[in-house]
Amino acid sequence: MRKVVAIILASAFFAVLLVSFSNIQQADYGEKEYYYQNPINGSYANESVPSHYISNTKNETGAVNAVTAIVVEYRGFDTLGEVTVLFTAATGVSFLLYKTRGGKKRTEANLILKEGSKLVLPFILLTGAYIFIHGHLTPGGGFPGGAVIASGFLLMMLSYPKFFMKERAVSVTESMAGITFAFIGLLGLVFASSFLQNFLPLGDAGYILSAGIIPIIYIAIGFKVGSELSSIADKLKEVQK
Amino acid sequence: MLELIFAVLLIAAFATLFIKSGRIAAIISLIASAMPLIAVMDWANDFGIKAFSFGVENSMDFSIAGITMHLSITSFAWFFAVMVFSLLPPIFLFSYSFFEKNNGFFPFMLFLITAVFGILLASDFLTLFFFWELMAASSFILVYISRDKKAIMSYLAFSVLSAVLILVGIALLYSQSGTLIFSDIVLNADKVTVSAIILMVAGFAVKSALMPLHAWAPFVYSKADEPFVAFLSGGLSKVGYYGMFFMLFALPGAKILHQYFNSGVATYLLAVIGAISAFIGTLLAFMEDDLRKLLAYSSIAQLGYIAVGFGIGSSLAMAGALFQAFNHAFFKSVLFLAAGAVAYRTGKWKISELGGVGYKMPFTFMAALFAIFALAAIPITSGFAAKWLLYEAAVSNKYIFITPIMLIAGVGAFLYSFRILYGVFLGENRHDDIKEAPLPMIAGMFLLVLPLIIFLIFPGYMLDMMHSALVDAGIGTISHTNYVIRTGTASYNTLAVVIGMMVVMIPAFLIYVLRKQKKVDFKDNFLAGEPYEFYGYISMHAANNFYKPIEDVIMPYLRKGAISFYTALYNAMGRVSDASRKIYTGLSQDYTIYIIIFFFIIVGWLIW
Amino acid sequence: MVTPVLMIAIPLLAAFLMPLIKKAHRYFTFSILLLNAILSVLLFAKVYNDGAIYETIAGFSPPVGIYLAVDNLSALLALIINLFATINFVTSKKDFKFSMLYLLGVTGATGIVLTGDIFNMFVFFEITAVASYALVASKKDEKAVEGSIKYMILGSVGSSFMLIGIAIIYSQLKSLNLYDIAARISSMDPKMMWLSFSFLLTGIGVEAELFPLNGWVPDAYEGASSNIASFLSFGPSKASIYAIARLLIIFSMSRTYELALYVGIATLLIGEVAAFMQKNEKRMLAYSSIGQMGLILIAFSLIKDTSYAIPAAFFIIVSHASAKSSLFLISGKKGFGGITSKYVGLAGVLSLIGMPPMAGFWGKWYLLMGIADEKMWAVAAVIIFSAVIEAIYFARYLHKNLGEGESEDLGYSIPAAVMVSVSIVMGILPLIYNMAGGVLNA
Repeated sequence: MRKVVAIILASAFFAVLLVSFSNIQQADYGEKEYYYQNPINGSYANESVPSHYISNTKNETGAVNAVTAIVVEYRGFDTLGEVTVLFTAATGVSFLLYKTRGGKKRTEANLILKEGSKLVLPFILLTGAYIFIHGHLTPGGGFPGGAVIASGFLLMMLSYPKFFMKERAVSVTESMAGITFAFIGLLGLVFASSFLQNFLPLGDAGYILSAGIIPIIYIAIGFKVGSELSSIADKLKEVQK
Repeated sequence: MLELIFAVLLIAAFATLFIKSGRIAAIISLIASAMPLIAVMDWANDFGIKAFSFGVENSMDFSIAGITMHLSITSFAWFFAVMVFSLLPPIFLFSYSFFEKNNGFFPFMLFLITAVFGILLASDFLTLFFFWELMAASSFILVYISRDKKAIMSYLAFSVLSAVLILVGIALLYSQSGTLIFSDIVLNADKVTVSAIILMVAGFAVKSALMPLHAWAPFVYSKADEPFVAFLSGGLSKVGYYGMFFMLFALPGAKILHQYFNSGVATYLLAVIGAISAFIGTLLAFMEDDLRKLLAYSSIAQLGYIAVGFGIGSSLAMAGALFQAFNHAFFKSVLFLAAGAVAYRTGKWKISELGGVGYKMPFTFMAALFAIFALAAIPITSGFAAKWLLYEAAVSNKYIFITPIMLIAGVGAFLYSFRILYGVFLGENRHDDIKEAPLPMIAGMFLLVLPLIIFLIFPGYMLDMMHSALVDAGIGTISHTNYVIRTGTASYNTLAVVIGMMVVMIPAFLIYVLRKQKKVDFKDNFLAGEPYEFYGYISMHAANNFYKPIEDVIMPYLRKGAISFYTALYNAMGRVSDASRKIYTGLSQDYTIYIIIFFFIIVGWLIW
Repeated sequence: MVTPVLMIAIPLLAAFLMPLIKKAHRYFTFSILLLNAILSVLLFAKVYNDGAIYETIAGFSPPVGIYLAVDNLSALLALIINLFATINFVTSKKDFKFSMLYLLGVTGATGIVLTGDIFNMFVFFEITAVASYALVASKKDEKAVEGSIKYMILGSVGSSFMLIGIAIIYSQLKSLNLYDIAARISSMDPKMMWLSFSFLLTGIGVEAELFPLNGWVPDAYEGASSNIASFLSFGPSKASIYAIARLLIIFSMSRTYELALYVGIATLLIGEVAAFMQKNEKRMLAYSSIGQMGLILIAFSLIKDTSYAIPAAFFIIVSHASAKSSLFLISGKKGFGGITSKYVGLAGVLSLIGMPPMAGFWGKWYLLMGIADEKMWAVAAVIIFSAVIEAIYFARYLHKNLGEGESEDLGYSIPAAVMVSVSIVMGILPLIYNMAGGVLNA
């Protein structure tokens, strides 16, 4: 009975979503322009938010990758929040999973996997680092870069049953990265006028050393996401039965 | 000066909160409770009675940023203030001996007094309601001290019911007139105003233990500390009647009700409810074995008379009702205090277990005797005058339903008060090892008896006191001198009655004292020859199962009364509650389905 | 220099710092919370004197960037959340990860109240929700985990609903700024507007304990340790009911207010009736919380038409936050052992029932005056009914907890006493009425 109800409800819900998002196409996504009243100074702006991003990103942030500019600069506060959500989840996992390590013996992986992963690991880490360091220039950024790094460690965990992250090192990395992010935000409050505001020179768009604080924040995010995801994987591995 | 009185009361309340010894707390409370009395005395000058003047102002606006509380004394509030606040010093005197340890009685009693003072002074609805709720809260804590489950639950439930009824009534009135200040309110005879008046009268009636709303009274009166119960029955119930008086005559709600219903049906209904309260309360009282429960039902009955007077609403009836309120405040306090004194010495509450206490505690007995005379309306105390006015009002209005019920209840009062006299104070002497109650207790009780005797001889003083109240409320007074009350049909000369009584009583007393007595041991004859065990139960005598035959006939019907109705309601509500908790199945799947269904419902509701 | 962003940035920084200073973590967390409470007092003073504050983040003006919008009511709520969090934290006895999660949960709730951007609000919802899931389970026994998992499942469903609602709004208006959305809401396709409102109400309603979205409430409150149950009742739930108030003001249609009123009434009735016969103390308090949330929603649903709505909601929030949190702190023991917990219990119950001199009295008073303005007498009847029901089960609760002679855990009852005294102070100084009566901008 419950299953039937669930199926009916789920399909009805899907229909509602279908209807609602099909309407969006008719409303020219990202095209229409509106008049806004700025709540702070009461002035009116004659463009929509998406078109503002498209036309002004390079001038305002110095980043070539508009997505990165939105994530780190325009909506940097949300990103700080998202990083914190991840951090909270990682802390929660490690807080609740309290079983001691090495509970169960696992079979050794075969030689090819072991040696192969040793060989691949540096490249994975390098790729990850590349993704987040070049976040403001090419597609990618802190989150995917961090995930790639974590996948490298995951590979090591799979191939070496006795491989454990160094808990202290991971948590210090995590903390330092988070502190860097929040601290840069506060520096923005001190050197410029608002939290997370850019206070470094924008530089020439397209070069590594450009776009002000974006690369620094993205590197911090990369470290943070990498260490958090690895530590979650590490913790989950410990309690596996 | 008025601020000073409030400040002294509150400071004393906070001080006693931290005092462990009951004696010191009682002394502080005694001094603090004299403060409102000073104000009351001062205000007497404003209402045509000569008294000392201390320079207490008669109105005050008390402002805390944003909210102003208007306080001022009116003639009818003053009349109620006289009776409520003169109870307090004797009660605190009594509790000097009653409480060895301060169990929280004194601080919350003082908060209660502050609240009552505020209620009587309030001249806008916010102030009235604020202090009403403060009164409910502090009296609830006093009940809470008793640790009895039924008392705690029923008292809080009915207090909140009363508060919310009054609050909704205030909201209704406010929506009609747009103001909360009494003097600015103009009432129209429309549906909203009428329902507001009915709700608020019902809300105030809860405190006065009027019949369908009385279910808390037997539990609370029989379990809380005696000095508090004395004030609850004597004082707080009068505050409820003050509220009713205010709504019906000062605002004036009774006129609106007359206009709206085009007849006096609403007020007649109040009178009928009062009469039924008196009747059923009396029936329940004379079958009760627990002394405190007996007094509780007796309170319900006696307070019913006041409602009859309010319902009739003529000048005669109002005079009678206010007189009855005044008397009841005093004699019921004395009775509860006497019960407290008896229990203080014997530790027993059941009439069937007590007996012969009067031989050892003669002064307590004396005080209780006078109170019982007043209760039973025997013309040796002022109780008679009040009842007489009420009966005459009912008769002259040709209330053929109310009058007989009231008369039967009046006789009934005698039937149960007789049981107190015989079962507790006289009868078989079972308590050889007890002493007379301590002096402060006796002093407190006799201070409370004093007004009963004074207003017996000079009922005119009482009518003087209520004169300006009745005139201000547009009711009109009855003509009187100090000793003579003249109603439309007859006149009643108290001096003649008193002298007549003296002529009979003094020789009788002298004969009783002077003749040669042979002491008869009550143990021999208290069963009047019946065997102790009789048909399986302990045989009937004045202290035990005295009204067994009546009880057997009536009780099956009375069992279906209000209290069992509320119990049934509680149980039914419990079943609804258990059923409603079945919604919370404990399965996240179900909860998720709820979420989606909720979403569909609101989408559907909003779009179509 | 008091800016609202400090109230979010400093605790975040502190939470990131926590793994490095494991040892003194309790004092550190406490002082950060205290600092936050002081900041919110200063912030409130500033807002009260100079009017609402709009603070941009990252230097981009609002429709493009994010901003924090702080008015009187949100500053007061931030104050309440941080103040109670500070007091409540005294009872924590766990390791540094607990302190970290607690700090993050409080920050999330503060963020919800302060932010002026709907997606930013969602992010803070996520922070406080994820932290709460872990905190509920922190007792680490079976019931705690059960409650936490139910909370987590429903919470995630709720946040997906919220996200879809935000997506619809953005697709239509190309904006995430609350003020901007409120100004242009009428230019939305009406069907899309209702859809997005439904998604958002359903999503936030899960956190705000609205019926029938509140299935997690009894289990989570029962499973959680008493200080976390206390945290749930002043933190996430209060922040999310405030978010619903903002939502109502954004959409500001008579139909949405009407809907909120009905949902509020249903929540009130179900909560109070369910609590009536509940024997388990914590579950009873949890159901009673549901009822109170319904009452707050009823108060907020009157915002459009009467100026009494905001003070009413504010006082009920204060009363509920302080009284219910302190009751949760002292419950679950063998009754009120000592004198402190006895008075805390009495004061808490009297405040919830709405008796002076507690904040609950003013809540009830202003609510009824608001209803009088609106002439909605059916709502008044519902309130009479629920008040009496509430009185009965709280009387039973008080009687059940009458302990004598047992010792009490002062570590719990003194913080509880401090919390409940907030309700008394607010009740004695209805001065706050003027302050809370200020405009509530969206």
